[in-house]
Formats: sequence, structure tokens, C-alpha cells
Amino acid sequence: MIAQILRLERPSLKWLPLILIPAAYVCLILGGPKQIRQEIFIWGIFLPIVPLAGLLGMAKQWTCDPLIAVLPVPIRALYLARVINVMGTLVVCWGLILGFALLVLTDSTLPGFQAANCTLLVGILPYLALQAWHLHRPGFPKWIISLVCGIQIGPSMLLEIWLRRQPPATADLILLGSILCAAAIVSVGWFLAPAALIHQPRLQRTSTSPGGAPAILPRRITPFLPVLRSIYGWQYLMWLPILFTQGASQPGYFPAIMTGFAVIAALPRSLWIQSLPVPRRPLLLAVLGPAILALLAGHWVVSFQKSRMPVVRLVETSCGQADVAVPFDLWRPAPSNSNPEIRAPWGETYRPPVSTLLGLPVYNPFSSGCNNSDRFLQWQLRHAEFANGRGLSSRIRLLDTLFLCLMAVASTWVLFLTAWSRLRRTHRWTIISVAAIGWLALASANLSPNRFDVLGLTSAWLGLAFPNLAPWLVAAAILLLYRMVERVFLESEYTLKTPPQPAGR
Amino acid sequence: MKPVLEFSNVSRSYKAGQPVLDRINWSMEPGEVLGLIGRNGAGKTTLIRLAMGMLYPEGGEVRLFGLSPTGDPIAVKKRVGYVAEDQVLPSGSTIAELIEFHRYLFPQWDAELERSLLDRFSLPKGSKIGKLSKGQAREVALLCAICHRPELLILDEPAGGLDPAARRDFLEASIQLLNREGTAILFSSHHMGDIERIGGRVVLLDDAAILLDRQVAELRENIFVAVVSSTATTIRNLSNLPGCLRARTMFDNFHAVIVGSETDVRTRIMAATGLGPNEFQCLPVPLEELFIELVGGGRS
Amino acid sequence: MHIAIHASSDLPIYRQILRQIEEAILQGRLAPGEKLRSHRELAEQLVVAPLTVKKAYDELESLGYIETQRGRGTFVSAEPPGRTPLEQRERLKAAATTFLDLSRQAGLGLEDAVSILRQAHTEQIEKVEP
Repeated sequence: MIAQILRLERPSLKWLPLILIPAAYVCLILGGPKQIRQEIFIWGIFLPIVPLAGLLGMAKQWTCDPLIAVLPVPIRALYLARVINVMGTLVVCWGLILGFALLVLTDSTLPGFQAANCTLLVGILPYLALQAWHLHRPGFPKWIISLVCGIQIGPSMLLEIWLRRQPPATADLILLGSILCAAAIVSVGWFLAPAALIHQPRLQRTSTSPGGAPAILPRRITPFLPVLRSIYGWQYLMWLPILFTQGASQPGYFPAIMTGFAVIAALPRSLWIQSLPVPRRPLLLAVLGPAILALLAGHWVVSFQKSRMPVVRLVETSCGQADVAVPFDLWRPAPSNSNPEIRAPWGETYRPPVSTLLGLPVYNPFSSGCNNSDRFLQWQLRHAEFANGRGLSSRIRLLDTLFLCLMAVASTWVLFLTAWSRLRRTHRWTIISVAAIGWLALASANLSPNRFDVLGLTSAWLGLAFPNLAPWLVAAAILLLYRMVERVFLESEYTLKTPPQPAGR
Repeated sequence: MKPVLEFSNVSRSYKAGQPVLDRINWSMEPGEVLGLIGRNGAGKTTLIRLAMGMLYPEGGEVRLFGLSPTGDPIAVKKRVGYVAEDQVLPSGSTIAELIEFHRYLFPQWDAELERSLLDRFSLPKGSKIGKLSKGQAREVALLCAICHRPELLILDEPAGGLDPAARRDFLEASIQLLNREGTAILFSSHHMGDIERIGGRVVLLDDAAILLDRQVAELRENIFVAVVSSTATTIRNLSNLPGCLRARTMFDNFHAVIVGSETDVRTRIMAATGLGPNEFQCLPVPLEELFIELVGGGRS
Repeated sequence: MHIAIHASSDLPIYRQILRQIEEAILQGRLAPGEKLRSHRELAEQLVVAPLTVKKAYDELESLGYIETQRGRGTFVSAEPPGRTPLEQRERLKAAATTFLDLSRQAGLGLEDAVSILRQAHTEQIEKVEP
């Protein structure tokens, strides 16, 4: 029986490239500098998880397949056949996840939260897909599914914050987590399998309400209710808390890159608008806007918290003396050829070492060397506090925000390319590769040679390189990129399915 | 008169090198009713989606009312009504809300027509669209597509999956629209009966090209199927006859679809095969048979 | 009057309409001068494209069965063709030719045909006045 069903089902191995391409990319980087390895840790694990979750989620479509529903197929045989069918890909996914996890964990210690984050992702994403799979039956209200998923995301994020404070995770945690997940997935599927797949007819429920729009909304918006409901369906709304929590918990660009997925999630539901004279530009804004706002809100909450922590600190240097440490935002570009000299009013001087920030020579103008007096140190400290108080960091926060927007728009652009009419005619795998490469290129922006927050680093770099122009430059880049997104969106072909290919005769 | 819809040299493929439509030239006059037929996968939906600006042509130009549907989408769509086979209406909204939205989009919305259609289809205005039956959902889609009195109504398999009574209602509503406004209608269908009832002109798509583009009445009176015994002649001989659209083998016979009046066709066959007048048949055929003769497979 | 449309008929729809109206006029069910439905009304009633009905009307008009008066509507002609004695004879003659063809195919002579005609006539009378 199982063999017969397997013959019917499409081979799942065709999804392997989706997993192997990112894996190859990760391996490539693992051969690079050591610091990057730790950065890549999260990628090595996260990248196989996304298709894994997708694969499991895909299974839910089959649940109601009328073809299978009318055949005398025992449900558990069907279930096993499906598990076996995706097994090849699943095994590769798990293998990759474990492989990367073990490789990096045995190599060096990692910040606890990253490992914890991975463990959670390993568990949560397939579990969510599984939930959707098993709950998605005719007659089962979707809002319950989204509620269940939403409830799980919330506490899991709290759990993550708690785990961050724990000692660094070990490989056992990930190993154990993934084994438990695999077991849970198979057993939940086995025990929850219904006696038969029923293809229920829709309930005919006619409400007696007049069906008018609620009077609270302004008159100009009420006609658009059906459109708003379509784009702001649970598929989209689910992303907003994710973007918020990711924006708050993940440093760097990664959360911004996820914005594109939220935008893509909203579009299939708005297909019906296509034949109507509804301009596409506002539609794009309506979809992109809330996603970016959710992301930024998360980011702002955290940066507000951070701003209450001392920015200027005293650190101990190798020679036992104290030194003033300030964020890169307060550093200065070094003059070329000569070491900068800091001279106190009483004549004491110090030549701080010049380091490079993304290729730009910079120095800390508030540092004090091993041979400097305590007076000099205190003078530098006051100096730094003063500089910080001048609102430099608020400008940097603006830059951070702009960079996040830029990345969010960029990821949307990359994902839109798949529907772009000019690209769509080429081979399907060409399109997928273009999107995958584009997305990985964006993801690479999240890698930094040392363990600094990439986002902060980039804004600091731009702020130092172009002190006055920086915000304008990024804003211009956003506008330009947004125009590109708009262009691609306007020229996109969104159809539910491609019409059948001509039958060979 | 300026054509309502015009395809010039339009090509489109989904996979490189496998055109679904290959340099199609074709146009529609105002008030014309055009039935689009062809086998599944012949490119009907692609053609319609190109007309709606949902797909971009690979080569050539699509024009509606002289405008490009992709370059000037809003202006074009304001004058077009569209019902798709797989129309996915927003399931969470009520009929009333959806109508309200259309009324907002189309200032020329005809409230009276809306009311009469709601009555005729007995649609409950307050129900959610997701809760409607397939037929009712299609009726809502039609209502939304015609109540703004479009200049061109595009129906992609409007009757797909509807019962005969619902189909008749659908046709009736379209015909009323035609009568009152002279709306041009482009519709694709597999129901030859429907095509014959409301279609003035028939376009048959086959093999990425237009195989036939004629008035329905002409199809019925000016196309004949010649049935010739396969021992009497060769299939190539029949295919090479002037006006022969297709010849195929059916068991012991050859079937050839030939354009022309009956006497004309008979003389041509006799001249080409040397058969006597009673040694072959020359039959007028209903549309459905004609369709099968033209695009169906041969059997031997 | 009632017009029936059959999609499976050998005749195209406009010819079905044309023929049925023609018959109604010839059989006197439509009197000369009687007003016909407009082609749009008839199209809605039959659920057929208006142009199809128009085509039938145009042909009927060119054959002289009906006439359109601008602004007033379409009427059966005061003197539709086929109703003068001569024309009626002509039509009967055509039917008789077909009848004779059939009897010849059955191997019957003129006498047999005439006797069959007589027999049918008697039966018809009996049916009407039992």
C-alpha cells in the first residue's frame, strides 16, 4: 500500500537544491576566518530549517486532497507514505542542522543566546508547520490555528530571552532538541491522524446581519474593507509579531531581511483585486509599511533600553591602566599618513593606535595610553561624556533605522523578482536561483569580521565617512530602492497558478 | 470603429521555446460577442490574462480601447468587467462590503441593476463570501463584473462547474447587458451550446495559434465534414484540398473538415479523389462535433 | 408565439428562428400587420445573442415576410409572400414532389401514392370529427 501511494506522490527530493545551495554557501564561509564561523553558526542552522518547515507545511495541502479522500486508503498508511516521501529531504535537513551545530559548538564557545535561539528555531518552525498541517481541516476556523501559532510564538520568545542569560548552550542541547522534535513530529502525526479524510462541504450559514461596514471607520476607508481584510489576513498578521520580536531580539540586519517574506505572504490573498482598477502603488505601501513599522518598533524598544545604559565606559587595558571605551559612533576618521595626536591643554599628548572600520582608518579620540596620567584619563572621560551628550547617538539611531529600512526594502525587492514579468519567462530554476543568490547576498551583509553588531558598525562607518551627508545618502538609497521595488511590483505577474502547458499531441 | 480589444503579433510562453501563444493577430469590435474555444491548455486563459494585463506579452502588443492594459491599467480596468474561472473573492468579506467596494471603484455603478441581479440570484447580501456555494460565488463575481456596465466583459469559463439553470441565468444576465449597452463580450467556454447561443463569432485556439475565426452561423452552414473511405484516397490528398482545415483518420475512414458551400465542397472532393457523388458523405455538423473534428485526436 | 431553440439541431440558431417565424406566418398564426417583439426582447426571451435574432429578422425582411417601421417596431407584412393562391400552390407542389420521390423509392406507383393520400385524408377527417 505504502509503496503504491509513494508512486503516486511527487518525489520530494526535488527540493533538495533549496537546502543544499545555502548549505554549500555556509560551508564556503566556514572555511574563512575564524570569527565569521561563529557568525555563520546561526545561518548554518537556520537555513536548512526554513525549507524543512516549508516541506512539513506543504504536507497540509494533501490533507484534503479530494483524490486521496475518495480512495480506500488507510489514513496511517498515507501518513507513513508521506513521511517516507519527505524523509530524504528531512534527513538531509536534520543532518545539516546537526552537522553545523556540532562543528561550530565543538570548535569554540558561543554566546548562549545564539545556540538557544537555534534550538528554539529547530523546534518551533517545524512544530508550527505541523500544527497548521493537523489543524487545517475543512470547517476548522482559521483563527484558532493562528491563535495557537501566535500563542506559541509569544512564550517561545520569552523563553529565548530567559535562555540568553543561561550559560552557553552545548551541542547536547541541540542534539536533544532536534531528536525530540523528530520524535514529536512523527508521533503527533500518528496519533492525531483522523479515522478518515473527510472532504466536507462548506457550511451554509447565512447571517441575518445587514452586512454593512462598522460605522466607526471613516467613510473613505469603509469601501476598502474587503481589500484590507484580504491583505491583512492571518498569513500577514502572523509576521508582524515575529518581525517585532526579531527586531527586538536579533542584532544586525537579519530581522530586516525577513520583511520580504511578510510582504510576499500578503499577496496571494489579494489576487482578486488584480482585475479591478485599484492602483498597485498604495497596495505595496499598505503591505510594506506595517511590516517595516513592526520591525522598527522592535528595534526602537531595544535601542531605547540600550540608550539608558552607559555608553562611555572605563575599561582595563593590557598594561593595567584604565582606558575610555566609546562606541564606534564617537570615533573619528584618522588623517592619512600620520598618527593623530591628542593634546591636553597642559601639554600632555597621546597618539592612539589607528584601526580600520570596514576599510576606513579610524581612531578613538577619547582614549588614553599606558603612559598617560590619571588627569589625562579623567579629561578624556569628561570629553567623551560631553561628546555623547551632544546627541550624536540620536543621529546614529536615525542611521540605524534608515539602514534597517534599506535592508527591508532590499529583501522585498529580491523576493519580488520571482514574480517580475521580465524574469518570469525564463526557466523556473533561474528565477529561484536569482532570488536565492540575492537573498544570500543580503544575508552576507549580516556577517562581520569581528563580533560587533553589523548594523551599528555600518551606521558608524557611514557616519564617520560622511559626517553630514550620511542620513541623506541612506534616505536617497531607500527612495531609489523603493522605486525599484515599486517598478518590479508594478510589472509583476501575479496569477494563482500558471495555466496548463499545451498538451503534447 | 476603433476595436475594443486588439492583439497584434502577441506571443507568450511560460517556458522558453514552448510558446503558449505564438504571434496572435486578432481584434474585437464594440458590441461583438466572441466565444473563445480550444482544448484545455490551448492558451485561452493565457490570452484572457494577457488582455487583462495580468500577464505581459513576450512580443507584440495588446491594446484595449487603444490603451495598453499593462501600461495604463487603471484606465483600462475601469471599462472592463472580468469573471475568472477560479475567481478568488475575499472570503472574509460580505457581499454587501464587496459591492460597496466596487461602487467606490466605479462611479458609474448601476444600483438598479445590482438590486435586480441580487433579486434574481437571490443572494443574501449579509453573508460572507467564503460561506457561499460555488454557483453563488460565481454569481457574485458576475454581479460585480457587470453592474458598472463595462464596455467589455471578459468571462473566463464562466459556466465552469455550474448547473444548467445557473448557466442559463448567467447567459441571460450577459445578454441583457449586451442588449442594453451593446457591451462587447469575450468569453471562453467548453459549452458549445452556450457559444452558439450568445457567441456571434468563434475563435478556436489550437497549437498556440488561431485555427479558426468565423461567425457562428457561417460555421454551421459553410463548413462540412467529408467522410471518405480510407481505401479510396490518401490523407495527404485530402489535407491538400483547398479550404481543408484538418484531416484525420477515424478507424476505416478519413474525416476532413472543409470550408465552403456543400456543392462546392463536393465538387472539390470529387475532383481530388475521383470518387462519384455517392461514394462519400459530406455532412453539416453541430458545433460540438466540429470542435472534435478540428482538435480531437485521430484513431486508427 | 413560442419559438423553441435546439442547440443540437442541424440548423444554426438564426435559421431556427427564421424558419419558425416563417411557418407561423404561413400557417396564419401570425396575422398580417401583427406586431412582432423587437429583436432585443426576443433575444432576452430566447437567451440568444441579439445579433443572431437581428440576422433572422433581416433575412425575413429581405424575404418580404416582415417589415420594420422606424420608431414603431417590426410588423408582419400586410401581404407576406407565400399567401397568394399561386404561391400556396407552388409550396404544395414542392411538398408533393418530395412525397412522390419517397413513394418512388418505396417502389410505389402514382396510383398507390394517390390512394395513400386519400387514406390519410379520411383518417385526418375522422380524427377531427369523431
